Order: sequence, then structure tokens, then C-alpha cells
Amino acid sequence: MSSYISINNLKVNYETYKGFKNVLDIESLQIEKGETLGIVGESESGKSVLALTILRILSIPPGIIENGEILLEGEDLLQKKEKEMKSIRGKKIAMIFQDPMSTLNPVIKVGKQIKNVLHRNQGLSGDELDKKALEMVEVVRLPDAARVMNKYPHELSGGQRQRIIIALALSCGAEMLIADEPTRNLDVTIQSGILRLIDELKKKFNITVLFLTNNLTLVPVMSDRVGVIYQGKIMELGKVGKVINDPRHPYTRMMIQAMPTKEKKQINLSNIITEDGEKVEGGCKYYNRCRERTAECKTEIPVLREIDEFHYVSCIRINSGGENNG
Amino acid sequence: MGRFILKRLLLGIIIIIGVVIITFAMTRMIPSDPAAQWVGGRATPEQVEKARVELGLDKPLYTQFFIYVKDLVSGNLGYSLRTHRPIMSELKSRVPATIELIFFSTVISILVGLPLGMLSAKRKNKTADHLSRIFSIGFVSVPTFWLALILQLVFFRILGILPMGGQLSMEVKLFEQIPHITGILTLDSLISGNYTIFKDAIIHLILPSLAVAAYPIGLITRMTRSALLEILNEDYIKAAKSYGLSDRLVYWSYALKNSLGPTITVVTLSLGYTLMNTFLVESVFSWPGLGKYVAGSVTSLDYPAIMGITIFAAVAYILLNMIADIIIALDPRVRL
Repeated sequence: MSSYISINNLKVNYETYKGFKNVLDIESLQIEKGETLGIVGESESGKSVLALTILRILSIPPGIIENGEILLEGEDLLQKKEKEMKSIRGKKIAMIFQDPMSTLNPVIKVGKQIKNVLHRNQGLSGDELDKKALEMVEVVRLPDAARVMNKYPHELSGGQRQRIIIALALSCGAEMLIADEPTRNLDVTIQSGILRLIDELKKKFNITVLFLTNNLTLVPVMSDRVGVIYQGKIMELGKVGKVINDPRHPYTRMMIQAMPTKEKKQINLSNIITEDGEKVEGGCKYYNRCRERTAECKTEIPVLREIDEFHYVSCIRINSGGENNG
Repeated sequence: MGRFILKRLLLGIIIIIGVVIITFAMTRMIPSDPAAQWVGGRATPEQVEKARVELGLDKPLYTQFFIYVKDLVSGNLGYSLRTHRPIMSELKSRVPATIELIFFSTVISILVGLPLGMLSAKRKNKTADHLSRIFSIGFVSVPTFWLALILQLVFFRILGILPMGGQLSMEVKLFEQIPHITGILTLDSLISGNYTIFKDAIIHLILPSLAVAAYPIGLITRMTRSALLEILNEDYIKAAKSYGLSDRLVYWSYALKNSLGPTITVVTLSLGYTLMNTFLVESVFSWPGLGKYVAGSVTSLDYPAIMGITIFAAVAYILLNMIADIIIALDPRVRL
């Protein structure tokens, strides 16, 4: 069975003053139809670049797609013409952006923005369009929908705006939704409301979701599978239960140790290691922060290997039996 | 909105009072004898003294100032030392032609500059962008009077398709009844339905308008380009694209609306410069506007005329800036 989305050998670089910097290097990543894949990683780990590259709205330059393929139901998105991409964006894949403050157009009423999207993607007009737009605002649980429609983004709160952004993404009627840190700028109470909403809507409309976050605690709530990304490379990938309960990669283990649990309410932040000064070219990207590093890690580039059923790890010190070599 | 306009009008009045004080003081500091100018070169000392009393120049300076302000409030700008005619009626007969020229050149500069800037932004660093940047830099840096002469040379002398100057052709002036309603010829001929005059007036407007428009075209192109490029990098443009919205909607509605603020500001700021340019262009094209009158008044030290023109320019500038602010306030984020 072929996957809904299949990413192979994707390499994205950024042009900087100091030369090219690799920001995304994904050997292999599949997203199945109907599942929710969570990608977790810190800031600048390449999550947003991944999202923008799939939709082909990455700014080029400074971004450069070096090679690779992104197959959507077998068709390579990277080979498509801009014109063809227009029938994919919105219609097949829609995106929820991370910053509710800057994602809405400040000079157009939110109702009009939703209507524009509905008109374009679902071909509605007239009364039908008005009705559907109102319905979309109601779907994301905004009370007093009719009044909200007539507001400009700056007249709404952050949580309200994020709901509008979700309404916009849903209005596309897409089969797949990329949620790029949808709760990044919101406080915790609003966060849980938004996440519950996305989860509900996902089931209601049967959407495939790529959920990008920097918050590992959100992943079990939201996803079926999880990928841990570090500096553009996937370090560990597997079913949520597997990765959370039996993390194999040193990076994942460090992150999970820092997570609060029912038994361990106190978070031990001293476990989080920051980069030491040693600069390493080639070798493992995590070398600088790894506690379990060896001399080989400096030169040998790890590849993502299946160590257990549907459980992949990118570390040379972990063999296929799942045991640590060292 | 109403309060804003009222506030700006009051502020405008204060500015105009300042302008009046400064110009009054400056014209009195110029070493010249207005009374002698009034009576002419061959007058006897007695005649000059008599004129001095008639013009009120024998009174103390502050009394003169109060008389001037009192007259100003009732719409009397005094009499020209050169022509002995009321300044107000002289301005009235010349200002409309200047306004007409400025209006047409502004329309041209927006019609050309805005699309050119948009094209430039859309095709950033491609041939169209390079060409438009060369043109806009050229337009900004070319001296207006030189451009005016070149336009005359090319379109009148070499190609022979457009008139060299003036507001109307001789035949039209002789055979048509020229309407006087607002003083703006194109508008008057349209109102009275005389299309022969309208067509002739438009043909005469083309070259001077182009000459005046050159500078603002360059400015608007550059400004639109940079403002649009900045907006195109915004998240909401990326988002709009991700929803599959058409290029047309994204550019014309989502991006352009947001980028107009700086362009509008630049247009109004450049209008002051345009007014000065207009004076130059008017003398090249013998346009019956303020230009020649200004030059004549300045060289003959006709101080009531100079003051009248300065006050007119100040009022025009204040009104234009207010209009610009009102247009910018169409942005819902700006609350007046």
C-alpha cells in the first residue's frame, strides 16, 4: 500500500552570508491517509521549512531545494508547475499557520477572508457562500459568529484569531491539514481548547494531519505516530506509545526525561544539555549535545534504521536488535 | 473622523498664521522701496511720498501687519506693485491652469508608477524589474526643464504630432466660444459640451503633464516596489497562497491594499516638489498658469504678489496633506 505522502531524500538548504546551511535533510518519511503524524523539535529544527516545502511556498531564495521528492499519492510535488500547485494548495493540502497575529490580512474583514477561500476552493457564491462562511465560523466555536465575521483581525483576540485561521484552513476543504505550531502564541487554557478543536474536526472531516510542535507533551494527545526532528534530520520515528515509553535516541530520551509525568511532577531541567563549543563537520548532527557520543559519531553519518516494528532511530550506536552497542 | 478634520483645519490655520508672519517679515526686510515701484521709474519724490501714504507704508510696521491680516481675512491680498491689479483676481485667473496641470500629471504618475512598481515587485530581479528600476531612477534624476525641452524637440519638432506649448491652438481660440465656469479648461469644456475645445486642451496638456509627471512616476514606482516586496514577505501572503487563492486576488487585493500607505504618503510629499516643477515647466510650455507670474513677481520684488503666492502654496499643501491622511485612514487599523 502506498502512503498518502511519501518524502524521500529531501534536502533543503538556506543561502546565508557564510555559505549554504542545510536546514532539512529527510531520508524517508511517510504519512498515511487519515493518520496524524506529530513532528516534534525545537525552534529552527526545520519543522516550518518542511511545511512550506510540501506546499511549495518556501521563499526561494534564500531557500534552495537541493534534491529529493515529495510524493502526494504518487505524484512528485517538487516537479509540479506553479500553476498545478494552485490546484493542490487548499484543495488537497491546507495549512494552519503558527502566528495568529500575522497570518490574517489586517485590512480585510475576517468574514471576507473566509469567503474568498470558500469561493475559490468550493466554488460557492451568493447566499450559499454567506451561509457556509457563517457555518465555518460556528464550526470553530466562535460565539456570535455573525458579528465576528464583520470584524477586522486587529479587533479579535489571539485565541479568536487562531480559530479563524483554523476556519480558513478548513474552508479549503482539503484532505490533509498541516498544523504548524497552531498554539504557539496562546496561553495554556486556550491552547487546550484549540487542540481539542483540531482533534474533533479531524475526526469529523476525516482529515490527515501533519502536526508540528515544539511541545512534546502535546504529541500523545494529538498524534498516532511521532517523529523527533533535530537540525532538519529525523532522529526517531515511531508509534506514539513506543517513542514515549521506550525512547531510543539520546535526544528523545533527554527530552522525555525533562517531561513532567504523574509520578514525577518536578521537572529536572539540568538534563537538558546545550551545545558545547566543539564544531563538527560531517558525522552526527547531534554530536555536540550528545552525552553518549563516541569517536565514530564524529565521522560516521547515521541513517534512519528500523530497530523494532515501525520504530526507526537515527543513531549509529543503536543496532537493529534495539540494544545499545556501547 | 469629523473631529480629526476639525483638528487638522485648526492646526492648518495656525500654520498659515505662521506663514503669513514669516513672509510679511521677510518681504519687509528686502531692501527695496515699494512706493517707488508703485509709481514707476520717472516719478518725482513728492509722488513717491504720496504713494507711500496711499499704500499705508508710512504707518508703523505692526499697524501695516494688522491691516494686511484684516484684508487677508476678507479675501483681499492687496495690489500688485507691477500691474496695479488686485492679487486675488490675478491668482484666480492663473491658479486653475496650474491646478489642471498638477492634477493631470498626478493622474499620469499614479497610472504609470503604480503598475510599474507592481510589475517590478512581481518580477523581482528579472529583466522587467531592472528596466523599470533604470526608468524610475532616470525619471527622478533628469532635470525637469531639460526633459521639457527634449519632449518639445521630439514630439513637436521631429515627430510633429503634438503642439509646442500654450493651452489651446490658435484656430480653436479664434473660432470657438471658450467657456468660463471653473477656470479649468478641460472641465469647463466638458461641462459645456464643447468637445472640440476639450480635445484640443487635452492635446496641449500631454507634454507639460508628462514633463511634470516624470519625477513622481519615478518616486511612486520605487516606493510601490519596495512596499509591495515587503508585504509579499508577510505571513498572510504566504497563508493566502497556501489556501490556493489566485495570484490576481493575492496581488491586487491582499498585497496591494496593504502597500498603498507609503505610496500615498510619497505622492503627497512629492506634490510640493511638483508645484515648483510646474512653475518651470509652465515657462517652457508658455502655460498660462502661475509659473510666469511667480517668476515675474520675484524678479520685480512685487512683495504683495509673492506673499499671495506663498499663502496659496501653504494652503494647498496643508489641504493635500489632510486629504492624504484621510485616504490613509481607509486602513481599518488607523483610527482618526
